[in-house]
Amino acid sequence: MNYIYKILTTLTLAAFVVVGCDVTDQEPKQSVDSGTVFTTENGANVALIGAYDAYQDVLPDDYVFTELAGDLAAHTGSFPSWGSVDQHNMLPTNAEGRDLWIFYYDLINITNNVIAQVPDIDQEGFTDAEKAQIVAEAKILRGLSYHSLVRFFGAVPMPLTATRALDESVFLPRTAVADVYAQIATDWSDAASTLGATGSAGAIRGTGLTASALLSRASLYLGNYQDAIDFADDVLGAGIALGDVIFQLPYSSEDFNNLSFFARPNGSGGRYEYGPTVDYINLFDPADTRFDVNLMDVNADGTLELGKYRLIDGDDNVPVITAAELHLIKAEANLELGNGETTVIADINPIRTAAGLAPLPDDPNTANEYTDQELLNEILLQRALELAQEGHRWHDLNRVGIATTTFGIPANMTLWPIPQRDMDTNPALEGNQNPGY
Amino acid sequence: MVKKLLTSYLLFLIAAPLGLFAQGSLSGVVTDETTGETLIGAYVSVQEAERVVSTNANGRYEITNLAAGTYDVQVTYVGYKKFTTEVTVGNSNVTLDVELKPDYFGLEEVVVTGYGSSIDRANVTSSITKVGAEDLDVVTASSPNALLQGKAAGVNIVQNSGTPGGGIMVRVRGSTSISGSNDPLYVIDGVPVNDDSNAAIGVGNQGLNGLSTLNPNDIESIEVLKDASATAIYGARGANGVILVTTKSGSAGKTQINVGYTHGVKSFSNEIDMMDSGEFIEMYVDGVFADFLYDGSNWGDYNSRYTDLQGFLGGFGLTPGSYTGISAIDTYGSDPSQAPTTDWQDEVFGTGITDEFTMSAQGGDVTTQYYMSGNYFNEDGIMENAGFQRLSGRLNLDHIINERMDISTRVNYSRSVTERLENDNNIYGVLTNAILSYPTAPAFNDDGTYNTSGLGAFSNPVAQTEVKNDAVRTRFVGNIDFNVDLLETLSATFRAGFDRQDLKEDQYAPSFTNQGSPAGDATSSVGIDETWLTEVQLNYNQDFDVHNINAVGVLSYQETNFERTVSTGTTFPVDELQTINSAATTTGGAFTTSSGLESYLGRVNYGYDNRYLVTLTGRVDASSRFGGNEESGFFPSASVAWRLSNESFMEGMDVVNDLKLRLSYGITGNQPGGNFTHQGLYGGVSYTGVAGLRPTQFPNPDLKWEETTQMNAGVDVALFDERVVVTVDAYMKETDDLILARPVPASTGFTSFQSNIGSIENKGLELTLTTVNVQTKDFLWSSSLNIATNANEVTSLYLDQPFASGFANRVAVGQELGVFYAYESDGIWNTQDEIDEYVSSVQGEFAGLTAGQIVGAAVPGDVRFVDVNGDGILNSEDQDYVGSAQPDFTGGFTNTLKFKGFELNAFFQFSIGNDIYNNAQAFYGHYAYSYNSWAKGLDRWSPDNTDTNVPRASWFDDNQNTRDSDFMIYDGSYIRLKSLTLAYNFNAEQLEAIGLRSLRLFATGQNLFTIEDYPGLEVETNTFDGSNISLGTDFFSYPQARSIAFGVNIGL
Repeated sequence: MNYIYKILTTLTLAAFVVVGCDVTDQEPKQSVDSGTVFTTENGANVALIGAYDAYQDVLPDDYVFTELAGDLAAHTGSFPSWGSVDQHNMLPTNAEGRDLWIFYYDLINITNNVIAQVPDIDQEGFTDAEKAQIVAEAKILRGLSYHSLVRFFGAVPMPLTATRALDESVFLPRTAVADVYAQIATDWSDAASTLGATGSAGAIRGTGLTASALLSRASLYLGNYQDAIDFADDVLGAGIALGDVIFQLPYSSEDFNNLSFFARPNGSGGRYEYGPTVDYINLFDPADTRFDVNLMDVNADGTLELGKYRLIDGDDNVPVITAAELHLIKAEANLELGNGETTVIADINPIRTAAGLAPLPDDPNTANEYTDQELLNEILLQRALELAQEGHRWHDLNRVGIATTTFGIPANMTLWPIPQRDMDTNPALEGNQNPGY
Repeated sequence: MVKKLLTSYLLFLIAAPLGLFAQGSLSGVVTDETTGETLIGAYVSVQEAERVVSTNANGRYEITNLAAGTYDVQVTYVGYKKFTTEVTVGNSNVTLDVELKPDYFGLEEVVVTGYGSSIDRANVTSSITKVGAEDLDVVTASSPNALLQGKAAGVNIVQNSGTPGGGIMVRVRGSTSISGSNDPLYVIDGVPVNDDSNAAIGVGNQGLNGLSTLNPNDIESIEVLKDASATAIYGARGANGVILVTTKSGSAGKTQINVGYTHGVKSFSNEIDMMDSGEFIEMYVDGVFADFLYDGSNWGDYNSRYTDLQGFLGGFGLTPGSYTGISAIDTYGSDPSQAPTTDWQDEVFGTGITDEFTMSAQGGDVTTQYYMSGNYFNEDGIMENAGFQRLSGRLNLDHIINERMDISTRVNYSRSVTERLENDNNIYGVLTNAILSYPTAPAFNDDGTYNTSGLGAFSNPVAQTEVKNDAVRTRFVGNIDFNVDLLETLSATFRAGFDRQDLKEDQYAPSFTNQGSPAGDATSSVGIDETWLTEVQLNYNQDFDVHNINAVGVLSYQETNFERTVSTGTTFPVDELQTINSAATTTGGAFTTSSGLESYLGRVNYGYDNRYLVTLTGRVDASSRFGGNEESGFFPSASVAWRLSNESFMEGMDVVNDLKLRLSYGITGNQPGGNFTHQGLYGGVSYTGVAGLRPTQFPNPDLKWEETTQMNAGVDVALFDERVVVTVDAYMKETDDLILARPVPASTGFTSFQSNIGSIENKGLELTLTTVNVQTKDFLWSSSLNIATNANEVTSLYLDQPFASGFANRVAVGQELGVFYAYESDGIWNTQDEIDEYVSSVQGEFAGLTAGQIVGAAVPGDVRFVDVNGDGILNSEDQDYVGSAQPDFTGGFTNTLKFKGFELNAFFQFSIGNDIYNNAQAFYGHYAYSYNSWAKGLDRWSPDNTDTNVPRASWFDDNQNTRDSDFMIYDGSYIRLKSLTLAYNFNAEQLEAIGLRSLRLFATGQNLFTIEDYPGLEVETNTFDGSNISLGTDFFSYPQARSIAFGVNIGL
């Protein structure tokens, strides 16, 4: 009897210790340690894919709020934070401004990592050209991020290196708007020169033509009108036709966007959070074929909804930059340079005819058939009709300086407040909120 | 204790032949001293002869074959004081009738302290509150943590919502953590169990109550370990307190069967008074008129406003209906009183039913005892299609193998189904829609289908109740304890425990709901959560002279593995087919994670002459959740107690029966809440079907546990024949190295960083007072009051930066967790003169300021927000701390009256001094914007009604009247009659006549009334279920029901 308890005791003790001894040795199973990413060519590639994924997350929101802040769309739903964007009474705590900020800086940090770390990866067969390609694509995305931020918020902190420690070193002050633009231009110029005239219509990754097209856009914002024209011509002369999308983000029902969800009515798979304004509906000429592109009435009850993105499973691709925009950039730049209405109209009429509208009459023997204001209005109208829901309207109104009169808001309201969370956490921003907030 | 007796009985059996020479016997009847009732099953033991018997159905016992001599006789019975006497037995029968004194407050009972140990209450040196079955039985609840509400001083429990089987917040002595868990550790029969919701499918903010799988009827006692001396033995999991649940075990003797049935009805009668359709239409006309046309003098009567508005909007090709999206305005605008109203709350609230059936059997012989039970619980909620069902079974078995070894097991298996509704912060929430949806839209179309039009951004709440959200949880919790006596004073215990929960959730939103439109939407998730535990424990027990030493040492390993598979499907052919197989589009995913804990711990209790008591504990925990630089933590504690009442100088002080002073100090921890939060991580993503990696988390190899240092001083007093028992505890808890996913500038690419930064302090006082007020032969009145106050303060944060949380909560140094940070208001601007006067007075002080800077966009009828910092400008810097969700006092008050067989028990539970932020008011208190409004809006400001405190109607609301402000903060204090029970217990005579061992009939009402002054739906509310820092917000949570139930308990 005596030995039985000894045997049982010993065996149980042995079993318990054997079972338990490595219990604290656990590893995550759906994440990898950050130190292992930038060590191989595959790591570099998947990290870049991560950047595109991050851009995929933010672009639909960017377009929604650019549109909502503009005069073509109005808030129809229940989110008070959307209502504030629409009515231009945002507070620094507004969740939508905050989230755009967060999403873009997430993307910026990803691209900063790629740009800094990929060139140093030492792997047999991973060539400098391959590395340069990856870095160039990351720079296109970084430039896009800063361009959105600078247009919404004005001067913003501008980290260009990957975050390595979360201490006082990350407290960056705001960088002046001009310096942010200079960095955007540098990123896109670097990308354009690395990638050359690469790319074709419908590209889903940043290409050389994407970089040049974006340089044209940036030049317009900076008032470098000749550059804007030259960059646009580079792209349009490289086999890109009027109806082409130069760079777009693809979505699928598994990897979907919410653009259609927020626009569709309740009961038709959406939540009707925003819709077109009456002013917008009235902009369309009855002959304009874009009416049916930009607007729809899914349950035929007479209430129109925004319609550019209409697949309820979120499968619509979202354009980043198109050939039509380049034509309209050229038209605006030519107008600003005083190159004569014929030159201006030459870039407007192809767009009008493609939409089923009559071309603007232009008698080659008569100068000044149109005032500059008429031409600018026509350009803005075509941008509203052609580039609707593609992230332009609010910025267009600000670029030409008419947002204040359009909405009856003070000039300071044309910039959104720096999100309160960063005002609170970044002492370098203290006392440097945008005025009026 | 029972086991000790049984062991001696066993020894007697082995030694039985020795009794052959005995000749005398001892017999008698055991009765209750106060009532004279006979006591069945009392133990009578004769120490020297190693004999134990129990009394029979008549309270009679007999011990025969006793050798002549003098014996110490001891009589014990649960709930009574131990009786001892000396008896001399000769050659004949000696009669010894015993009257036992009731032990009202369990001063003699044992208290479970964890790791298989229990200790006489009198010898406890730390702060432990024991709640026994008799206190738990008076409340009917679906889970053990809900039962504890109001029962233990310093344990604040909030039912976050009234959802059947829904989440619950339990805080022992305040909140010690910001981003880690603040939940206490739950240990059931020695196995630390998971109380997480584990729910994968969101229905708003509320989760599931992880403990609702346990049948409360199986519980023998719940011990709440509160101070560091008690909880340090649980080391890195002890900082939030520990709740030890002990289930019932069998005892030797005739099989006892208990059967219980309860049937209840519940309802809700505190609906918010909303506007009817006519009032609603008028409000919109007023609001839009004010925005576009009101110039300060043209208000006119309603009809002129309506006509003017029609004319104005007509100029843009619009109507009031098309502009607002509420077509009923066009139909009924000229005579709003004709508009039919749908009372959406009436449509979704109904009567709920509760049924519970319990059966248990217990018994056994001297070597094997069992307790087994089965339970069926069914609750249909007060809202359509909300419910909770549980089926559970238990087997508790104890077996003595031989004089050296015994083994015991506790096995529980249960299956529970929670039918949840979408609620809280959720556009598809049933309650959200029942309150905010337009009253002008009908619930049903003429053909009986759900109406989905005319609801603006909202859903038809009645249709929304048809969204299926079923969570089926099957759970096994079990353990085996194997005890071996190695030496006279040394024994070993091997404990293996296992807790597995399988949670299967199915959601299907039918095509006719907004959520499921256009063709159905389904999500299905299966989560498996497994925890195993192995422990080796050495127990040492030695008494010599006046010294008593009792020590344990434990080696413990625990591992948890969790995995989940989720699939979703959209576009179904018909709503009848709801499995994901039938969907046109499907997606899926899987996830797995794990954690482990390796621990070494020990405890020594030393007692000197029953006067001086010392307890020392220590635990070393190594956790996989700690960063690489901090592998393990040490958590020591010490406590001393002085039983003054056992000192010679206290002798003869008859008033004081017991007096004990306690003092304790110790360190406990709270390990990081998530697995792998210390690692820098990249997670998998996809872009156009190509796999990628994205950073998800910034590394912190220094991440470790939160460390709480707690000091406790307490007094236990029993007075006047133990008819007054008081326990007072004062404590101070300082928590450092707070784990904070601290917000970092988003410009880093990260929004938060898991790090040990910040401190919190909790200071509090707890009082438990139990009294027997009246005691006569037939009548007993006893009371029990517990009341606690806790002061919470955040004492440091990273660079002392405050941050926002929830809707209006903020975490800031010098403030409590749960404070509200918002604008202050001073009523509304009643007239333009008032505004002008204020503007010019400010301009007098601060030249150059514009009216816009001074009052914003305010016009008469807007909220007058206060320039708190006095700089003349009204902006975000004028926000201030305007309330707190932390109560000043919490507690419970129970009164029990017994007259003959009748028993009346009234249990009040209260929370005093906490504020509620009614975020829902930002919606129903914005008059004329996309929602229906509460009836308070009928008294809104208008040029005809300037003497009011309710803001005007305005679609645009340029002044942002609904911004976070004290306009939406209310006193959330309440006293609630949590339960009122009237019962009748049949007496022995009656029982004999009907042949039953016991019979009890009862009626019980829960939440019968509440004293409160809160205008929202439910005063006990917490929309951010489980959040430590977003407390006290009301946002369309499922409310508590009032219920009345009838039941019967039968003993066979």
